[in-house]
Amino acid sequence: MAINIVVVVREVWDTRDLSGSVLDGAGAVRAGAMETRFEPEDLNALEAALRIKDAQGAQVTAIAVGETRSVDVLRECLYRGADKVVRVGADPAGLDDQALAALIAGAIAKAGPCDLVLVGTAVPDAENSLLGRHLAAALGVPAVSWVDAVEEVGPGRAVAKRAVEMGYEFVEVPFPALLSMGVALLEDDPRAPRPAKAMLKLKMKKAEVPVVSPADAGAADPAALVAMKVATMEAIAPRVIESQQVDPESEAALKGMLDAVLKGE
Amino acid sequence: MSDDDQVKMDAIVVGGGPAGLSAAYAMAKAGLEVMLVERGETCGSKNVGGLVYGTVLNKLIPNFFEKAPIERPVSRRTLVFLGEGEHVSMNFGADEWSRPPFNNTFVVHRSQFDRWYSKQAEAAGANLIEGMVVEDLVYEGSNGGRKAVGVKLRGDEEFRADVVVLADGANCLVSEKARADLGLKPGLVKQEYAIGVKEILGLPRGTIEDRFNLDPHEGVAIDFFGTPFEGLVGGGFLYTAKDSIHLGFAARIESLTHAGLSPNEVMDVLKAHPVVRKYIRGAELLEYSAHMIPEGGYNAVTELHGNGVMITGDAAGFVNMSIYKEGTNHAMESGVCAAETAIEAKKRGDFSAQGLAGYRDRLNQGVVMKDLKKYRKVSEVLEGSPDLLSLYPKKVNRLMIDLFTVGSQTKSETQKRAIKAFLTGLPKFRAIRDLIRARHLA
Ligand SMILES: Cc1cc2nc3c(=O)[nH]c(=O)nc-3n(C[C@H](O)[C@H](O)[C@H](O)COP(=O)(O)OP(=O)(O)OC[C@H]3O[C@@H](n4cnc5c(N)ncnc54)[C@H](O)[C@@H]3O)c2cc1C
Repeated sequence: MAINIVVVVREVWDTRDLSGSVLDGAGAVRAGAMETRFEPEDLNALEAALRIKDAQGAQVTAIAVGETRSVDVLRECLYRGADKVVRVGADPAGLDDQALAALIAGAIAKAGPCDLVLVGTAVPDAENSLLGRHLAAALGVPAVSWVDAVEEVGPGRAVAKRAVEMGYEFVEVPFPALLSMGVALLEDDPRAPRPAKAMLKLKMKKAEVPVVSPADAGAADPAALVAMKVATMEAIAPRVIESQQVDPESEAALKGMLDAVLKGE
Repeated sequence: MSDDDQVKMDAIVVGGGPAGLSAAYAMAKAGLEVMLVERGETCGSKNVGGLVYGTVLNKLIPNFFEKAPIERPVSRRTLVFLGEGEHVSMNFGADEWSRPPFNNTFVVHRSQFDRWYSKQAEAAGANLIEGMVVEDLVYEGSNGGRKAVGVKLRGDEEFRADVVVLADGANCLVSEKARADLGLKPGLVKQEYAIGVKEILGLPRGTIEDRFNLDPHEGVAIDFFGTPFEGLVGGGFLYTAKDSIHLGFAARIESLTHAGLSPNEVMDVLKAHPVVRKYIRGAELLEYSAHMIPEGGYNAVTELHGNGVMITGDAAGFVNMSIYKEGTNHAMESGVCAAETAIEAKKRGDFSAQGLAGYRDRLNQGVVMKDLKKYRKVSEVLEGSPDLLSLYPKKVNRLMIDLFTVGSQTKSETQKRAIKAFLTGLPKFRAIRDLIRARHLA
């Protein structure tokens, strides 16, 4: 029997190739100055779910919180082979992982039966990777972090592979369970995660994306759930490295240059 | 569209620039099932351009400028002849240019503008497939009966259609391959290319309006000729956007190679010229881009339709490199001509080269081919008389400076000397020949 998998996906700031000043005086991101992208590790989690679907059949549902800024991550999931998507109609700005987890857990409960929840591990927007843990707690299910690959699925359990000192361990968890996917999948397979399929784009472009309100997700006022917030910020002046010419023949000169760069002189 | 995995479109458009989007928009409006494939993340994300000319678009989408992301209309134009340190310029504009339809000339961010246009095509019913590359066309039949029946997407499947409209821009690998595969007749001369380089420089809106003497809904387009482009077949431009300035140049690739100059070096010289330097003072570099521009003009145009295929826009070489530097308008017009032809072909059920011959006729009756024909000598003239772009601007500069240098001679002495200096170094017959040739440029 096909299992039900939920993947949590996020649209995040694209921190590659930054130019100019992206932060305003108060240390907040200047929205117009930055692009967004599909959180790469969430794409990885989606890929893991779709591989299970390819291998043994599964119903894959993707969930995201908030309106699209420029990359519609839910539609991107449909273009890759997700069966269903759900948008939680709340603004994620200002919500911490605990509040987000409560909203997502409510949406998962509404979406129907669920055997596995997959999330990406790292979260560049707050650098604390805790969404998966909070979500597992909110759902009351066991969680495994830093999963490299899902080795076996069902019946009633999953086996997750993860790297440990000197090797791998294989962790078995009963359904329902949550797995936080690491980056290994991406590194091992140059074709992963899979790109969008043209035919699915053609078919899913106008598919309706159902929206669950915070109230329906059991948290009418998500801001009230926020426990942690950034109180103040202190900017660190960017280091400017002046280009300089050194004699490539001179080992001392090269070493001096390296030292200067490493020491930040 | 059915759920059946075999979808067949009426038309597939390759490329989401002004040409492809116009074709897709017009065909979708007429009820054709259209799919447009664009390799950029979104339409426009890879596109580089200068001004957008709106005459064709205004027919497709009346008063588009009220809705489209226009930065500023061009209410004033300036031609500047740069010498080493001196400069002569000509400024012209009309109050009318500050009012709809704004002389049909607009400064836009092509990434935003093309994206907006793509949304209009989508609303008209076109299916946009973005972030996908067309690798090649799919054919059936052989020899003279060979016929394009669809496209193959990189890393993905084939899609079928009655007709493929190629709008893949200046660097048109798909069109080039199709020309060879379908044996389309080549042009009289080989296509030649310029490289266009552009920087977007951020400046506060108020600073731009003060510095360039503009009202909030006005803009200026400046064309530069002269010393920064010495030895090159090319010139520079500066356009004012809302909160930024677009500064760049276009130069024949061959001439850059010949002069041993890299585009960056030319850009540096342009930015360092006293006139330009003051325009861009305090600006922050936001974006840099470079793109090819087909420059061969009329004589480089190949046969543009074959069995199941029409070629449009820059891929067809529809850029007028005279002082008007027009490409967007031609791209849009050729896209519309291709769309009208496809609509007609569908009615008759004939998508063979013969069934699509109306494309050629429409082009010939329209503005594109007539303009290209009028300016067919531009390429040759610029190549044959490189002085037109550097020696003469220098001379004119010298003349004006000499005429207006305040000194202790009498006026008639000053004038005599200035004119004498102007004429020295100008071989008489060549100058006359050059001036006769120059009329091909305007
Ligand atoms: C610096 C510069 C300044 C210019 N200034 C002016 C000006 O002032 N006025 C003016 O009118 N014109 C100007 N032009 C020219 C003008 O930009 C072009 O003529 C115009 O963009 C042509 O439109 P197009 O649709 O034919 O091609 P493009 O706008 O180049 O669009 C082609 C599209 O096809 C896509 N594509 C290519 N290959 C594939 C593939 N295999 N699969 C899928 N998609 C593909 C590309 O990503 C692109 O989006 C300028 C050009 C440059 C570079």
